Amino acid sequence: MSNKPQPSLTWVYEGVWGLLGKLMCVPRDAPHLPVMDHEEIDSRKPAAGFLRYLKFEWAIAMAFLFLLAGGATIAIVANKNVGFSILAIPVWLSFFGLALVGYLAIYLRYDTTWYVFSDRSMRLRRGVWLIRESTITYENIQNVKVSQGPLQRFFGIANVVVETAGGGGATQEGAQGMHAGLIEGVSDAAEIRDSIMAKTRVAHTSGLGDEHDEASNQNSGKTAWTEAHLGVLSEIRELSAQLGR
Amino acid sequence: MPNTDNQALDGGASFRAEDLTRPARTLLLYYLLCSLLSGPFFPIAFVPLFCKYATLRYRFDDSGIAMQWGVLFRREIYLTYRRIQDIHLTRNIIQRWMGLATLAVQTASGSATPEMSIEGILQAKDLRDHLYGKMRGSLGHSQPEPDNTSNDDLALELLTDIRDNLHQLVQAGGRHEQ
Repeated sequence: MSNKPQPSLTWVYEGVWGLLGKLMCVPRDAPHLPVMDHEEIDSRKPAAGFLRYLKFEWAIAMAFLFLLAGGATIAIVANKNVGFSILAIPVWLSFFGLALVGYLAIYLRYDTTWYVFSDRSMRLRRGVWLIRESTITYENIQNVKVSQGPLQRFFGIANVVVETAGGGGATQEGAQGMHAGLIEGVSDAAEIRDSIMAKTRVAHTSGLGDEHDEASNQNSGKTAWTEAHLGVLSEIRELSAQLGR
Repeated sequence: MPNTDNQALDGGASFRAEDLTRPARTLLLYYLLCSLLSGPFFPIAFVPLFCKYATLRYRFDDSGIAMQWGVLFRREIYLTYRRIQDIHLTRNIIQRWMGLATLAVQTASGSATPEMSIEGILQAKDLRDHLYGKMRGSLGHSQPEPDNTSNDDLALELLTDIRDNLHQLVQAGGRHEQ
């Protein structure tokens, strides 16, 4: 993977992963999806731009935090309040700790996010504390939404939200609703949307829980008449026309 | 890092959903821990959870899942495999430590909360793949070719008969004119 952290930080990161894997049972590899014959599995992660996007958001949040803390510290020191000045030291240390944890969390979030697509369904995994794996078959998909904010456009990523039937669906940002799947931070959102829609279109049902209704489909509409039927019918028409003369 | 997650949750090859009727004992321990988190309100939190654990029953049959629990207020949920919209497997850190999982099964009804939350199954991944194999769309889009040969032969036969009858009529009419 090209999106590894800096070499100097790698060992820290690998250590964190080792600890997480052992203590917290966090799986690092892609979720498994049962396959049929000739079925292709496409396991993918968010784009590298997603990592940069998260880091940018983190940097802005941290800058805000440190600016605030810096202002407060200057005010305290200017007041020559010794008690508060000593108190400022652990506060600053905890801020640095927070920044480090936040930075690590970005990588952890990135590394635990997986999107697995097969010909029939997709399985999306996200989360570190609460790991959530959603399995959605294409046949159940009602619509696909692509959303992209200005910052996301700058980093060349977008979110794809897949919705199935049922209420209480996705909120705009998080897509935490249960009837939705969020494919976050991908660089080729349009292609993903197209491929999902193509696979969804193959399904002939409305995606509302009915079986393939082959029996009723055959008896209704044009499919019931074959070439042979039509041939005989046209002969009947000619004969009846002759009879009428 | 070996995939601890698979080792913890996969029950092996001998998985049969029909055998699952009761949640595993670890679920009670999990409920105990959850209610301990509420601190002084522990008894209030634990009693309903204990009652749920004690009365929780599952039934996986050929067409669907039935789930029931409750002592004073009884609840029973039934849904068919073919109506499953999506399946969510969630595991928080305590559940992962204990090998448990919450399997939320969704149908197309209008509620935001899952229609059925299957808890306390140790082979949750096996169960999920079992449900995945039975839900809509998991069999692929193999629409069989409409075979008109068997079903519509009768229609063709009738039409042919009508045509022949008409043919005779036309010929008879022609002869009559002559």
